[in-house]
Amino acid sequence: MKKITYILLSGIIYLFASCVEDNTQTVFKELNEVTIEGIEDEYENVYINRTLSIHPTLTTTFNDESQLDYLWIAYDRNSRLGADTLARTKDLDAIIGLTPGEHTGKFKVFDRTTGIYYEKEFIINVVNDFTQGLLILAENNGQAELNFWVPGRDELITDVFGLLNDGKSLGTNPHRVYFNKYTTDASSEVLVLCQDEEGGKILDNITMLESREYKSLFINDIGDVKPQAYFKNYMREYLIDNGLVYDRAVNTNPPSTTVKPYLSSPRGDYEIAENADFGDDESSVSRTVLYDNLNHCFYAQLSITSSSLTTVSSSGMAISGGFFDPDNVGMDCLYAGLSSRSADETREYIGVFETEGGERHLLRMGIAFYANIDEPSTYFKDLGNDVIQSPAINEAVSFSCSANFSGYLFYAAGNQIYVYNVLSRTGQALYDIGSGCTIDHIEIERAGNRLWVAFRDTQATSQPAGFVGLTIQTDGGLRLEESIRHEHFADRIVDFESKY
Amino acid sequence: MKTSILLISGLLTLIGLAGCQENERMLYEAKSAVYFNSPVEGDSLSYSFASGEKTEDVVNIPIRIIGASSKGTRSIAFDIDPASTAQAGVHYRDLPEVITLQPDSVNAYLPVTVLAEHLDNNQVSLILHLRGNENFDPGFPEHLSFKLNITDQLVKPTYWDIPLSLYYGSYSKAKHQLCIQIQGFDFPAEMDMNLINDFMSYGRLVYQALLKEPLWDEETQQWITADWSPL
Repeated sequence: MKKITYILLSGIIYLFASCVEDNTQTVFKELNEVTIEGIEDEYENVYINRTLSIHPTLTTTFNDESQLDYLWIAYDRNSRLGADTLARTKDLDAIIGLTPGEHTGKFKVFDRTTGIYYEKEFIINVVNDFTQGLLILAENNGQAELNFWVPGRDELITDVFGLLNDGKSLGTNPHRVYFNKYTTDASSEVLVLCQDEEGGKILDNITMLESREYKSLFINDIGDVKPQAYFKNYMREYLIDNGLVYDRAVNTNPPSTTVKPYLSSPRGDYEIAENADFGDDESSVSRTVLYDNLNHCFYAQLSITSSSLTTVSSSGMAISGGFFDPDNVGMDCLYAGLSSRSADETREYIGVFETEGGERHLLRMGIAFYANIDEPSTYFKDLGNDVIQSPAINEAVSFSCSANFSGYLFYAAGNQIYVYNVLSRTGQALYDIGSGCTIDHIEIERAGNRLWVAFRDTQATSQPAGFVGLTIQTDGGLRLEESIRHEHFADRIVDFESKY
Repeated sequence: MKTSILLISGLLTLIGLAGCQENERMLYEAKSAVYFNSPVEGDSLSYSFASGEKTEDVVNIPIRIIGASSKGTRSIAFDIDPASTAQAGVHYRDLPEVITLQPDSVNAYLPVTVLAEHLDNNQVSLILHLRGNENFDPGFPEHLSFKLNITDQLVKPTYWDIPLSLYYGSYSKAKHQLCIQIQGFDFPAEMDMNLINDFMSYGRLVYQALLKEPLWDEETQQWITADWSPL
């Protein structure tokens, strides 16, 4: 019985095994295989309107290229229906007209006799003069002027906006410039704020052409505008105008083109401090903290859909350190910025606050939103409140700090740059920009070790403004060394912004 | 026992493999049918001229077919219910005699130009019924009639409770009128998802306006205040 069973089963298996169509090819043809060499995996800094030359070397089995066709194409993440054809020749010598950004390139070799193709894929990073560098917002002859410093070439291009927009003006009374980088180059923008009737302009990130007016950010007529600042996190961005805060959704692609009507405060009227930036320009935070100079309190916007500002205490994230009450600080905030960040998404900020009597304090606070730590992962903790005892602190007009130089506050008064050590509570003069000069604005560059300093030569008869880039050296003690200087090209420089 | 199991397994395998054959394609083969495809419950739509923006407008009543599209144009028949209070030439015009279904399409629209002039603070209705013809049978029985209300009175948008109340709070005609003043337009008869962000923003503006100055509602004899938390 067993034998019969096994035979039966075997028979079934063999039956199915036999039901296979045999498509074995018996005629074999040797292919003229092509090996492509001489193409890099990535091409950096490929400039628009300049020739990109790639001359690959082909090796074929039969040493015969007569039956080969060639195709060079490029596409990016926005390409949907087709790629750009760069050339149909073996060698590529094409003037690049691709938009700035990363593109995928392909070189394809087709064998006409077999239809088989061989390909090599590579990356092309296309740039233009304005892809990376420093935006410098200045005032010249009463007009706002946007200038651009090109690193590598140490070249200053003045009045970029006027040059590219038929001599048009950005406005008057320039105030701030921001580079808003989003998921695509097409949606990224340059925001120029002017405190005039129009409020400034929004420029195309790639071409620097005017994209739209500042007032187009609002869905209704808000009356007189007075743009002051623009704070960011990766979910929402906040425009400060006339002390009021307007939120904008940016966690979509493209980001919302308008801001919502201003948020209300449980304290009634309010006035957001325009220099109190609780963001992080290198590693975006998930939520925003704001400071109210009218009610002397902090707000923490945990809910990104709420139309109301929320005080730190009512948000439930306050941890008392005993140094100051975030709901009742009692001082105006002159400046606040990021002083340190950790990999677990916890951050420390420092701020210069001033009492009614003019006494300046250094406040330290630890802030975290959904950090990678044990509970609480979201908190606002006051860490320190010291009267600043440092030379010329009461005359300081501009401040800067950076997580790359944790624990230091740089400030400018007159023609001097000073540094204050937050932990040791000591300060000293660090750099003299030159007699006859006065410093208007300082700013540590994004993701770098350079301090940009805007100054005016008070003895110049025209265009007194210029800027220097001072490299912050830390070995052997903290010091500043001048590495960049451009002078006498504007009346006044008001702001710097890295473009990256 | 083992042998029996083996045998049964083998037989089952054989049966299973023999059972694997390609399914017969089942296509819709009955005569195509037609029905009103309104997203609004109850197959009715209210068009209001209360905002004063327009004196006439075109309303497109959506129809859909059951069945395949065709390469040719087909007509869909309908009747006007004698119970309709809207009059042709007075409250509406340009109602076609048949509905046209374009080639390669399963959706059609019946355009009606509605008129504001003779409403006189009233509401009139145009009631339509789909009927069968050589091209189509009547479709879903509960979707064969459609009622178009034409009025110059404020009409609560059908989508106020969800989602507009999240942005504007509870409904009242006085608040509705305030919304129109602030927004510059009335809420469309049908929900337009593209306007959600705008509604969020306008909801805040209405909230701020009421925060500054509550509104007295003559109809309900109550104050309308900023009593909700807009998004």
